[in-house]
Amino acid sequence: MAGMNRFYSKDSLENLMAFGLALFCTSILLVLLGVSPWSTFIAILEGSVLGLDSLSRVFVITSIMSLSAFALIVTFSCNMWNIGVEGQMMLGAIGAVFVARSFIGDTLLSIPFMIIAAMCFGGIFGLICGLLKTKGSVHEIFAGLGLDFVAAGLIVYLVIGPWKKEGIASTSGTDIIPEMSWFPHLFDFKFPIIPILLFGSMYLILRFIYAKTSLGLKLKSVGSNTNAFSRLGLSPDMYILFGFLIAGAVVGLAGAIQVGSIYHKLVPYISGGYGFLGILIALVSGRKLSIAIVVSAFFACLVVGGSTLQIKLGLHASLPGIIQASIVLFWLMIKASSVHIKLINAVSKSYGHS
Amino acid sequence: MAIVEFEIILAAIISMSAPLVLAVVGETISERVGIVNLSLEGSLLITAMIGFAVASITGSVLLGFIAAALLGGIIALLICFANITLYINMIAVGFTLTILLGKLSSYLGQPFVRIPGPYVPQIEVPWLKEIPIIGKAVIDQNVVVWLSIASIIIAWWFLYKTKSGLVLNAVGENPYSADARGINVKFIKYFYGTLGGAIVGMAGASFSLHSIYGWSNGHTLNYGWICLAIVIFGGWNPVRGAIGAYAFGGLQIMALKLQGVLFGLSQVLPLIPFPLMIMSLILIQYSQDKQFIPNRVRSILFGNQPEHLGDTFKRG
Amino acid sequence: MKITFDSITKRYGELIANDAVTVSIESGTIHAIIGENGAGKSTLVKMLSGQVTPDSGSIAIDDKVIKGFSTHSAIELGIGLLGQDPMDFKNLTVMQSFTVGHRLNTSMMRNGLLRQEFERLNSVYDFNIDPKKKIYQLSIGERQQVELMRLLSNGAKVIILDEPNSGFSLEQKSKVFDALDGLTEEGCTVILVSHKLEDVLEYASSVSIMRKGTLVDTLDLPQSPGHLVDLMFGGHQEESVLQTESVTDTQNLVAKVQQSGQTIDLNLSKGMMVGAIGLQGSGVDTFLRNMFYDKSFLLTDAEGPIDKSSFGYVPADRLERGLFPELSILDHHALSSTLGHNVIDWTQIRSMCEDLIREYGIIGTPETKAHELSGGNQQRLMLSMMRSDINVAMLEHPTRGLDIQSADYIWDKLLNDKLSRTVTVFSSYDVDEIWNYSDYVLCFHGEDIVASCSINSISKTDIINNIAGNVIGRDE
Repeated sequence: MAGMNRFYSKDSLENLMAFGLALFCTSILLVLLGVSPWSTFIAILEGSVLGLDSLSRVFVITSIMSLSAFALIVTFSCNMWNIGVEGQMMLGAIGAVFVARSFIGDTLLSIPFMIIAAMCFGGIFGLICGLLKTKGSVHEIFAGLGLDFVAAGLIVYLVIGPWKKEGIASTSGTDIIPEMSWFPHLFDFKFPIIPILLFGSMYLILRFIYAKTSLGLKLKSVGSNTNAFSRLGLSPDMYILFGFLIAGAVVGLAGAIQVGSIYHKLVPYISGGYGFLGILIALVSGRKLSIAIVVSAFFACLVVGGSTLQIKLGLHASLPGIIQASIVLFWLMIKASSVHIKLINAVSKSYGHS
Repeated sequence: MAIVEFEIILAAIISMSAPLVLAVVGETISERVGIVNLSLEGSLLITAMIGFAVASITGSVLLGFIAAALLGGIIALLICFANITLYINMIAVGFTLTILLGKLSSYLGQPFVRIPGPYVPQIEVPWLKEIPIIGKAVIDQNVVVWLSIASIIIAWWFLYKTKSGLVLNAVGENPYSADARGINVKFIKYFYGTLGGAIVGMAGASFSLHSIYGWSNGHTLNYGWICLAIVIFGGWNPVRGAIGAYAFGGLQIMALKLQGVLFGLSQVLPLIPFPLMIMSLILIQYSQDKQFIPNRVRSILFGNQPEHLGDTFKRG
Repeated sequence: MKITFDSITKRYGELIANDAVTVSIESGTIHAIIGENGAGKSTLVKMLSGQVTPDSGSIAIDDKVIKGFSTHSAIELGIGLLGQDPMDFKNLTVMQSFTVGHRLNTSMMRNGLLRQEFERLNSVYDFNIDPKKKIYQLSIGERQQVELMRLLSNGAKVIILDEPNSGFSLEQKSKVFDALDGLTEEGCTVILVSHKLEDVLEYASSVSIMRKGTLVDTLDLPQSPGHLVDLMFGGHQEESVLQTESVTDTQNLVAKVQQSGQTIDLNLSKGMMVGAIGLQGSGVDTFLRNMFYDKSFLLTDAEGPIDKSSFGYVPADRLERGLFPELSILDHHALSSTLGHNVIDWTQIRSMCEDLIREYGIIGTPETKAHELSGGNQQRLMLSMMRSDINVAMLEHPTRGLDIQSADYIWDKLLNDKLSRTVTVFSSYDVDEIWNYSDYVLCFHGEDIVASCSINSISKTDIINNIAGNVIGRDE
């Protein structure tokens, strides 16, 4: 057991070192862009975690990003990319708005049904991607990419067609949904209880599935070796479909949060690129759920704090995105070239450790 | 009168589609050698920005194009380095770059947003432009349009008629077989991957210096993704890819004309290539599984995906 | 060209693939290298084609020692390898595939020149291949013919055929060997690595026999096939012990086997150990796989067909088809035991896993990943994954690549368990294994079962003769 622990800590030391190096390289990039990394990070920190309003937004965006990253981690476990995550989130949003616009939209039942509908819509859209992969042999990356834009088209159609604003149709979105369908804040702290409950429960459920159930084990196995999987009398296709279904349902919830907590209506590209960001988060978190939450929180701080950068430092709003993507890019390169391990070895040697 | 109108529309389509055609040709070359440059969306944005910026500062459109081509090549080189040398999944790198480059283009492009700047001038060609249809549609255009048309022909000739093109195809089909024949697979991948990126860079510059003058955030919005779809729709053949790009241009012109009649068409239109892409992928697979379609018809209709597209080449 | 391997040694970790192998191959001959799987034939020829570097020893061509072999320098030297799978390009045309990497094809497409060359070879060797066709439209045999033409056209003086013949039709094979025969007269050397004794006997003029990494002998042909098989399998001692608990023939079990179109009934008895033997490339390779996956394969006892879900299959390629490389031993046991259950009781699984690790002597902890295990331990893991309620155990080459200790352990285990199972079937290329451990033997030659009988009613020599294709099968 002691050996296990040492191995674990060595692993996390390496990850920490890689992250540090990635952050360092990103800082160099910032300097090259004429920005002071130190004041930027301080401003982002101040703009995100200080203040109830911004903290509340951090929580909401952390939830959305975590759910997207979870969706990727699930399909990665079956060795599948889920580029369709944006589309699945959009479908989740459509599902939520569908309920909110219906006759129960103005009742207490609305929110639970919005959540259920978002999961169903997202899950079905994920399933379509899986079907294209397993039955149509379309590479899941291109299938997912195509479906993202199909979903985007569907929203545009709804917004200017059947669900158009009263009076004149406009691409600025549908009518605002009834207030009973808005996700409530807890007390006066603006504590976004529903998004946190949603991603928290998804985290627990997925952890349970992967740690305790044979479904989780099978999702992992099918990704490791489909031949050996079918030798055990199991159908690889079925579990790949399961993976996509779960992923779609999980990220569908993020769509519900976009509707219930942020927009309160359906707008084109409602996913806001958070699905794609979820892909980056899943890559950088080594496909681990708990680390994905930490990275999501960090990235959410960048998003929320980034909006104050403009006011405080006169910096452009694109800076948070640059920081996020560059950390991931450098992380990938550092991991692959194992610079971080060489560095650890060099340091430990120079300090005389074995 | 109908002929005149047709000529004008055709000329508009060919002119407007020039950037997309260049991007499709560039990406087709990369993908044929096995490199998927998924950063296309970001690459187009940042090269459009750099092209316009350099042209504005120096006043030289040519320098703008050169800068954009260089940058496009460097981005592709980075993907090649990550995949061929570091063995990182090229999808992961391309995807991350898409986001990074897109944001960088907004950041670096701030001083150039919506300012007037240079653009590619029209060149008067006497006499030749009097030729019916072709005169208006092809001759009476600028260098960028000629370049886009030339790129289709050159790419086609190179890929299908030269020895180097054959080696390029062979490496994308099966790098291990090519390796066994003494071909330097890694070099070939680096070279054509980068070349394809440079052409994509020129496509970016031709957005900001030719088809949609100037620079604004998200200037080439979604054209990178559309281009990826069209490359597949075109069956990895530059000619068919270009036809796809022109068809898309035609749809756009049509949407502009019908804007008043059918509200929202211009929003839905850019999404049309994606279902088509999925359908053509299904058809390629289906026609390969079921041998009921004659091979000749099949290769004309659907094209062949390079067998080792997107794979990381690693010697045993 | 004359080729001399001088005391070549190559190790892969513990395994010695080539142990001081010295062979000399005369110019202008077809020289065969035979041996059972894992004997080191492929490793030896891959050093000549530059794909493998020897640990020690040297290779000389025309008595000149060549230093620093690479694939590239091998091509320059005129060494061409025709492998098991044709190294070509599926979506290119025949002519294009012929052109890629061709020495005549310098800068521009010298299309005319190359086409002429292709047509010339095509008609000289009578291959009749349409250069306009795409590679995927050809059969494997035709693709190998194109590859052969390409090698020859590139000036290959030494042609290595590394078991390429599986895809050839009879007509193609004779055409290819006619071509090769002609070449030897021009001074080319052909090295034929094969398991098909009849090919070796028909076409080669000399043969080297390898066994477990060493060279057994080099002989001039013809020789009797039985003698060659004897040498390949290391000579047999008729006095070797028969198994202690032989199962008697009560014949309460019928297996319906569909092998190359014909249906064969095997009359087996409960608790039997059935050994399937053949040379590599014969039907024995796919026999167990078909038995497991093919719905038309039926095993019937007094109560009717036995349910396939109680079949357990252990494939030969452990990491490709058997195990999950990224998963731990614990995960493997959880997978094999919780099939049908939803929530995993990890404490129970862990104690079970620890028991199994101890029982099967697997060197590893429950957390060790499958790809980190040695071959022997991977095999033990696969055996330990077999559920206790398995009725029919099927094992492909259960001891291939294992050290003696592991192999003995696995045989003990299988013999120990056989009476509790309906039937245990294993396949092997090794006559001694069949002779020592089976109650019933199936001999394969080509795609067919040429003999099937109780081990008591056949002699070891007969088994060898059957798989060598020497004797008409004697069915019971």
